[in-house]
Amino acid sequence: MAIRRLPETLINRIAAGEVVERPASVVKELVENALDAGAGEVETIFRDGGRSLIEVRDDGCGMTREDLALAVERHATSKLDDDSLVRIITLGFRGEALASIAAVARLAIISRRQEADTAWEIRVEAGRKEEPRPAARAPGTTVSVRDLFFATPARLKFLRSARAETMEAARVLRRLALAHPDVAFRFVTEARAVFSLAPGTEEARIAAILGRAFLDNAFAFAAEREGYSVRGWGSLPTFSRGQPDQQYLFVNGRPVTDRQLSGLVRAAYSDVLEKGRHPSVVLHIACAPELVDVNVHPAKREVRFRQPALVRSLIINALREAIAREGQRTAMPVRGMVPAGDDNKLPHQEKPAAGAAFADRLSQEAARLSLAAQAPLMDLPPQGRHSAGLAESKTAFAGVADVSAPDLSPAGLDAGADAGAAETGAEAAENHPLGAALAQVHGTYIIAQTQDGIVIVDQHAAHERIVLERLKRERAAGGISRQGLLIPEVVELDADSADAVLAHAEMLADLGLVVEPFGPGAVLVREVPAALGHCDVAGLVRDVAADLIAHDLPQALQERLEHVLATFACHHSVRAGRFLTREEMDALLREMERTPRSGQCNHGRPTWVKLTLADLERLFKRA
Amino acid sequence: MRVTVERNALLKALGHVQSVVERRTTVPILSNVLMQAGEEGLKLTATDLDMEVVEEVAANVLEGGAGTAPAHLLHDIVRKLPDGSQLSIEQPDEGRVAVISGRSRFMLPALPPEDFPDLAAGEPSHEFAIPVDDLAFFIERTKFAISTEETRYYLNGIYFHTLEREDGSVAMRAVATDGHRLARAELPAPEGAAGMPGIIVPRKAVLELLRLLDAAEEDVQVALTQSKIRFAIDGVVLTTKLIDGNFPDYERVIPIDNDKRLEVDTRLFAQAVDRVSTVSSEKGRAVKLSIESERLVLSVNNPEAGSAEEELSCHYEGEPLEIGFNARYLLEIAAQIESATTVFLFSDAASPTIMRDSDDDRTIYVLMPMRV
Amino acid sequence: MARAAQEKTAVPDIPHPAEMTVLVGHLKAEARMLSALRSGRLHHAWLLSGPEGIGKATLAWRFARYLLAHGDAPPPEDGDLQLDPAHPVFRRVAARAHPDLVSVERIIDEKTGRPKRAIGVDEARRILHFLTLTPAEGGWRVVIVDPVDDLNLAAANALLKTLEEPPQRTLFLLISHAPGRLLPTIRSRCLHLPLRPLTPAQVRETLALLDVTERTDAEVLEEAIAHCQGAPGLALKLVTSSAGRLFSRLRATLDAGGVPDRAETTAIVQELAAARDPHALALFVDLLRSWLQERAREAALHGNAQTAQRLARAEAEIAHLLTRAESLNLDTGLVLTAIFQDLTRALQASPA
Repeated sequence: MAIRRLPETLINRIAAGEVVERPASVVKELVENALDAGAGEVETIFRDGGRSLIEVRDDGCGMTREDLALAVERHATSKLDDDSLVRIITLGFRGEALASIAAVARLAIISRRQEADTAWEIRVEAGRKEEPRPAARAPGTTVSVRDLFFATPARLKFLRSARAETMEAARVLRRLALAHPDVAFRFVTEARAVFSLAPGTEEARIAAILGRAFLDNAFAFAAEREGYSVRGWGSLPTFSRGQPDQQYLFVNGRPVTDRQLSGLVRAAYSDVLEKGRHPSVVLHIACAPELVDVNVHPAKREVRFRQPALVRSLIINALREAIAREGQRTAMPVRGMVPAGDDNKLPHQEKPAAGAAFADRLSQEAARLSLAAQAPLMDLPPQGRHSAGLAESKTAFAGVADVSAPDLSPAGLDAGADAGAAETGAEAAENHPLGAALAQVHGTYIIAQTQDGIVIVDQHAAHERIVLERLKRERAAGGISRQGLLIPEVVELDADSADAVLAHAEMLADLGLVVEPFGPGAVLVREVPAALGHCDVAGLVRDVAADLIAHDLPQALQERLEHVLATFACHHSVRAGRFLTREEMDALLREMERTPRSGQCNHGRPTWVKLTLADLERLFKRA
Repeated sequence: MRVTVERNALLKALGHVQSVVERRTTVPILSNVLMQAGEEGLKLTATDLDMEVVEEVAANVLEGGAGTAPAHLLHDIVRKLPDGSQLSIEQPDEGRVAVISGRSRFMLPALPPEDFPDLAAGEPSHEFAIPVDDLAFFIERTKFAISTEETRYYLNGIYFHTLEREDGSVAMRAVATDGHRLARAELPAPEGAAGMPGIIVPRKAVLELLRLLDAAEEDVQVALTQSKIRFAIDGVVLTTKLIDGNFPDYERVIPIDNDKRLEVDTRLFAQAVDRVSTVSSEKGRAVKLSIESERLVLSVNNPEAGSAEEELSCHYEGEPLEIGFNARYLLEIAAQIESATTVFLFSDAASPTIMRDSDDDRTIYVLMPMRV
Repeated sequence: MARAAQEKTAVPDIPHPAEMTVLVGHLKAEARMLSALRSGRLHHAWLLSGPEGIGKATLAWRFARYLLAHGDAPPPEDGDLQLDPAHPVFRRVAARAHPDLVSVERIIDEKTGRPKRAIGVDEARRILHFLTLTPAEGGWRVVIVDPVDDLNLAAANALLKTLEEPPQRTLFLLISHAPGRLLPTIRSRCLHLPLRPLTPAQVRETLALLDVTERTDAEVLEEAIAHCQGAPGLALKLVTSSAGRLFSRLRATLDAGGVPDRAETTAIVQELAAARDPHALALFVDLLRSWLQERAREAALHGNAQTAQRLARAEAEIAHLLTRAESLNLDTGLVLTAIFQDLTRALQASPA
């Protein structure tokens, strides 16, 4: 395809704007060009975070001497048929890229057409163009950008560390690589090969970029309507992340980071994901070029559809349907209880609405069944039968509590007070705001009896909060103590995550997590925060990485620290499903009373709810 | 089947076998004990499918045969019969087992003995006899370090293996680690054990074994098949599956050139650690050891509950050193050390530390420091 | 874990697949298993799919028993997977007491008497624990999941890892009534073995072998064979459960194009509620739903879109109602009454 100057009319229709913001945007433009040229292999070389050198080599169709001369001029492009911006098929199209880059850096292009016997080279420096001259090269094109922003020193100041810029470029390349699984991508810095992706199937590419685990925990989806089609992969709701950093959106193969689109993904998952969790998705939208306007944003990140409402509902429905299909095997709990735990509020200050609300919910369900008879509606759950005795008899549940005791593994005796003392302690404990532990149910919840009702505690959430508060205290008091690992643990990550973790190694060490590089895409963990005990180290590091990637902003240091600590706390040792002795349960309750902000876990869920006797009486229609 | 048996003998045997029977099992036959009456007497078997305990009781067999009955129920019944009484067990029909003693008569539901699992089969590749004390030593010295964390399941047991020492003799080792500390016990290998494959005995079986060793006197006969290990202890036979995994190359984490040597009175040290750690509200808090020649200071600093410090005399060569450890880990290891003096070998505040008994080089403990 | 009973044994008179001594049909599938054994390269995970009640689990348990008894030595050319019911392996497997086999099935919550809605992660952990230990007999370990459709997501994910990197000499037999709904990642790791419904003659043979024929009224038996859709499991339920009898009574009315009157539905409600058998209710509603589905399909085929839609919606309503009722522990009688209201509404609105 020969390069022509765009007519004036068309130039005017192109929205003005800076194309070159940072090294990553240069990479994006150059690699898109390479892909448009039909490359089967694209190699990107980075030096000094792209400041001293960005080079993109491809084995595409190449350019003639004439093309070369024209290519570096503003609004010259090989890609627009019929002078129409409407039908936009290729990736880079605005004829601005090379000219814009040439304006702020030293640009050199060597290119050879497939059928030509010689290559041509052209150099442009701060906009000054030299004549093309013969050069040596295999068919294809090499674009070298040296000393980016040397002509505009003010821009240099806005660049982040070489590491951060390299990571950003890697991110851009991965997005493009996801859309082009049949093309080989290599990304090399002075230090190492950041990644090297062989051409292969789309699934193989997804596995290489989002990790095998994503594919293992994802469903495929597809839908089509009135010329638009969507397809892709979405993670199961249970495989969510703390950050929306694994959402890849493509429109006609073009990576976009359109906020509206990511909002749609969130909407589709809204009722299956808790607040603050995000799905991983790869979403492709395809339509005829005239049905979409990709010319909204100078960097082509945003898009505008001819029928936005249609596309919106198409995406949401496709995802929802798939989630419903895949998710129906998940037993959804009946959520009737109203959360009780506000910051610092202990039970005696609590409004007594929880039980009533629960009862209301049951009644509503009953009403929905359009049945007149209400009274005999519920098959009383077994505990219900004891309800009459509950108020009077402290021992009603004692037998239940005993059942859980033999299950405790001796090694788990961590919080144990001595058993004799606890017997008498239980009486006294009733005077505590969170009461005396009676039993543990389903290895997850602690039931405690207080003076005026019962308290149900989510043991995992409560312990998580306590650990977080402890970590914060330790940090404030001069340092989080760390336990060395006798056998250091190797954690496999995707390259981005490993980079992010290593880039923050110093901060993490401050917080008690000591990591070292361990080959590409892996880190070695040497020490962990002591407060976490024996934890799932791999899971911990993965969550921390996702967290870091999402909060990679210098000004948010404090916030970032809190995020990391919260992630740590999530990985403490008392997970749901572990049996606790009564002493352990009481110890947990007392610690909750001592710990500020223990009313909710750090995902905003309550750690306990209370049912007063009045609530219970209402529930059983005794009032 | 019809046998008469002495109550105390039966009670003891039932006590041994019933402890492997899970109280809450979904498989009815697994809550039963298998009783087989043969020439040697009455053989009782119980299992949870991971391990099996078999014990023979002297009995007067009037009629051979086999039956099963609920283990806990049978145990409770026998326990309540008068001391020294005789009882008779018979099977009036396939579905029931009768227990008769004096004027008491119990009818228990039975399940067919053919349905009862069998874990004993298999030809052993290695057989050897090990003194009770040796086996108990291996287990007692290492069991505290067994990991209970499930993701690294291959650490959920004690690793036994043999190796050739430099002098050509063969040693047997037991090793356990939870990733924070490691315990290794070594003794001369029993005859016949040389060349046995390294095996990981699951924690549950280890604890059961230790209970059985408690009253044992004769050497324990050990037989190893491809996938199981069998211990015969004074007439009780425990057979268990093994952990199907590879134990990590633990030698690599045991430092060999730690040159800073501290000697301290074991009992005084343990008491001091216990005392200073009272001020830390959480058990996992670090105790700091500040070591100079002849002087060891233990301290804990808890911003809320205050601080504690205690000084001990010691013997120490080397540069002054400050190093922190999890108080609980220190106490657990100190509890293993029998002699008056404990030896510490340090490299630096970030590297694995060795603890050992000054008089006993059969065991070695490795502990990772805690850092603040 | 709550004390729980295996669902299938709880249905009176129907042997659990682990105890089933006969298998009719599925010769091709069995031949594939035999030839896999002969080839010496036994794939580690098999997905047995097909409608409920046609013998998938029976075949799976049969395969498991054979492998546990004989290992993977090549079977003789004319051999099959049959194992003598007196064989120790058969006995232990039937008692669910073989140390090298673990099965995860939908279980009944003993407290409520109803089947739990899904197989949870605790059950999956049982499999993982089983696989961390060596096989007691040094040979193969077998894992049966029946049905894999019932795994909840956490359980499925827990299982995935071992399916991906299975321990040596381990055979997974996964049973699925709806393989299309499985996680693609589970499906893709399995050798897929689709089983077909049996012919009426084969169903009849199965019932005869199980000594059902002589104990059953001939008319009831034929009706069951006619309506079981090639699934002897369903036929057995139809002849043994009160639900089958009650539904065939209702079907007579429905097939004649009628709408059941108050007296008829009340009688059914009373009888089912009195039975206190959660299986009976489940079976009854299943039968009703498949009748509605069939009718909806028929209507759609005849171009009667409105009726099809109405019937399909009623079916979906009933399904929804049932899930809600389960989660709220609602009384059987009231649930049924509500279901009949939905049904009546759907039928009355249909043009006759």
